[in-house]
Amino acid sequence: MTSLIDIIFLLLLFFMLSSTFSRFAEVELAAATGGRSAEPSDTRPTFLRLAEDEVSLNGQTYTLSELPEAFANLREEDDDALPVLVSLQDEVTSQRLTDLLVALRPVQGLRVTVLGS
Amino acid sequence: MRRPRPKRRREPTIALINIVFLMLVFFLVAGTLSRPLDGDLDLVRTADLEGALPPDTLVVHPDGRMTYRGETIGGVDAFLAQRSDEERKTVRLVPDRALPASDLVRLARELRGAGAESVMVVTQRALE
Repeated sequence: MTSLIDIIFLLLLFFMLSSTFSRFAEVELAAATGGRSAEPSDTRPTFLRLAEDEVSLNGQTYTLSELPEAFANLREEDDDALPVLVSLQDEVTSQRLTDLLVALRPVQGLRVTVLGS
Repeated sequence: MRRPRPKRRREPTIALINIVFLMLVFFLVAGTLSRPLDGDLDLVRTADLEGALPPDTLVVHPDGRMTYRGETIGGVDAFLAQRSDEERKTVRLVPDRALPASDLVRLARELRGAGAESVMVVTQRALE
């Protein structure tokens, strides 16, 4: 009887120490590749400037949660993908950039490209 | 005259095993076995994303240092050279949340230039 509980106790210890409870997720990061010209497009690209405390889209300041609405107003026709160029201010962290990518994900028909410095 | 011996109570072994067994089942079901990430890493937090498997891939520290399974990696090429063709198509990065985004973008660009078709950023899902 003791040996049984010893074994079970060992198993319990092993699983307690080695298992993790954090859940992971992933989001695609489409960075601009240098040297290759983009395919010609009639759609004018939109410029999105990301700073640590604000986002400006074509010069107008928004918050992250207002962005999907702003893009909905910006797009008149649904056939073409709208190119979005994201430029980063110096102090922007990965957390902030990922927040932006997550906020843009539900918006249909965007082609997001992050410009490097 | 004999003194009555103190009654020895048996250890409740069965009950003990039951409890420990329950805990074992809980950890088996609720936890995920994975290779531990570097201890001081603070992952990017996100909500509203689908889950993904625990990452076993390139970790980028806030100072731009890259590690894989605890060992420092010199550059993107050295990392990709160890990967199989399948893994090279989609490369996952685990950045610290304090890593400057320009470094992350530069890394992604280097990975794309070295043959990766898509670069994914692994984040930690916030508890709902």
